[in-house]
Amino acid sequence: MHKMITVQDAVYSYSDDEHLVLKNITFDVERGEWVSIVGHNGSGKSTMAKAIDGLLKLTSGAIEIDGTALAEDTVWKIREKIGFVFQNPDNQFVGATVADDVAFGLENRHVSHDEMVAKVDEALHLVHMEAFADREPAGLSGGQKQRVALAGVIAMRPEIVILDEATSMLDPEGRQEIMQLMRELKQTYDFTVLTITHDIDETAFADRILLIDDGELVAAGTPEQVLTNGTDLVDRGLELPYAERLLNQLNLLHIDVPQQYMTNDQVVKWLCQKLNSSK
Amino acid sequence: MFSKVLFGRFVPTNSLIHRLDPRAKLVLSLYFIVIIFMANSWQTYAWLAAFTLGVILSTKVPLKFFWDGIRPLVWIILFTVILQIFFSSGGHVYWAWGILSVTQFGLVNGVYIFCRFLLIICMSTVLTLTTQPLMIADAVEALLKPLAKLKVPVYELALMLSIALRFVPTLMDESQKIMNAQRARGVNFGTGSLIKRVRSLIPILIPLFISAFNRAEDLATAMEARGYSGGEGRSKYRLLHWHRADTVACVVMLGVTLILFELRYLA
Repeated sequence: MHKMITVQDAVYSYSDDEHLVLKNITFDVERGEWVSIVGHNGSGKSTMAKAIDGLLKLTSGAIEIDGTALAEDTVWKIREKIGFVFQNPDNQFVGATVADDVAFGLENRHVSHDEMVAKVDEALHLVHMEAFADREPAGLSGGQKQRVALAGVIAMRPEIVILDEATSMLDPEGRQEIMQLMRELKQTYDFTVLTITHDIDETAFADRILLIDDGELVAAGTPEQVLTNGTDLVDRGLELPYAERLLNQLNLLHIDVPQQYMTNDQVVKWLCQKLNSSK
Repeated sequence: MFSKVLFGRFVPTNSLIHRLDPRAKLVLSLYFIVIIFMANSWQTYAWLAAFTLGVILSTKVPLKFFWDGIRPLVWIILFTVILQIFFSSGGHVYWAWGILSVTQFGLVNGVYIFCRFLLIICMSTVLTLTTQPLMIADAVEALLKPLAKLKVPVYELALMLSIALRFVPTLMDESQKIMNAQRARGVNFGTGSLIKRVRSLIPILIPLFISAFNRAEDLATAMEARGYSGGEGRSKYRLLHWHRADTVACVVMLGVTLILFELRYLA
């Protein structure tokens, strides 16, 4: 398999501080994979994401994107492959209107005007925001602003999309909307996706989960592998996924629940079976 | 508190004036302000006033908006006019007391100054009411472009202007939120002595200042992540188009000037 992101022994500390934000983190992401980095606030997830995009320089360690080592002279080349959506919808909105914001990245890459108009229209269409093209950010909701940010990323056709807590400031509806949209777009464009979150329910679409605690990579694997260890998650300041919480409650009522990890759909299926068999 | 700010109060009525190129509008309104100072007789002022009225009516913007533009400046206008009336000399003296005197020239000058103020305010209001702030920023950039040859950082200035404009509503929202949050904690704005009032502004200004820094940091990171590495050589999404109507507007303005000079030398 083709490695898209390789992180070797990443160490980072803010210059005036002895405290290490990242401690020897090593992992890789394959092409077309959806990887979620989870961890509580301040565990170093965002720092990791910024380091991958070259926005922060690691204290030591190496990062390779699609076979190219991240260094001062390759950073702009590497950024072209990465689309980044940040946490705060308001603070990353550069353009004066929706269309201007989507075009911002294209302008930076010297795309010609006609091509730019076509790409902006297409990207806005994909995120269902074409009716808002001439609106100003002040008139948009948080979820709409994040969709515009996503459109700005899509317009540039990156190979990797990083969502750095992109839904943490949205209401549950907007959150669902963005994640669902991301899944559709991933299927269309075959992105490699790296999402960063402290909300376990957001890892629903992930192929693999990396659990970071206090700058250390403490667990990595498929959602089943990582999430089965429920107590581990709770110890690290995270919440259990919804299905797990439900099963735990049932367990407290002395109902026999299966021990392995199950997704929401699997739990629904299991509950139906259980109810049918007890009739 | 901020609803009185006229700048950026764009009223979209899609009139003929609205559709003009912002460069044309900006240059022509500045030009008009200059030629107002060429007027020197009641005929010339009448002519310019008639023209301004025509422009105002053709914008289809309710007249109330223009009155909103004039209202905050009423005191300055009155003060200047009164100063002119009482301190100018020449012509027939109607009334005198010490250094104060009401003279024929004084009265005439007062009226002229009044007209000048009114015309300048109305014309600049036409510009801001019919042009989106964003368009004005684009026009400024286009007009400054020749200065790039003199090493003036035109692209950076334009980007600063457009980001500033984009964040005006965001920061206004935020200051309103901070104000309400501080009110909920018992800060009393707008009462007490002058010093007390100024001091009560501190709990708004400091948080606003800090949050502006955070925003700037976030925005800079987001811009860098999207490949912004300096203004030079970026292509442009928003292009300005010069139409026939813009040329016509220039010709009309030229006609207005010619008639103005005609009246000026006739008198």
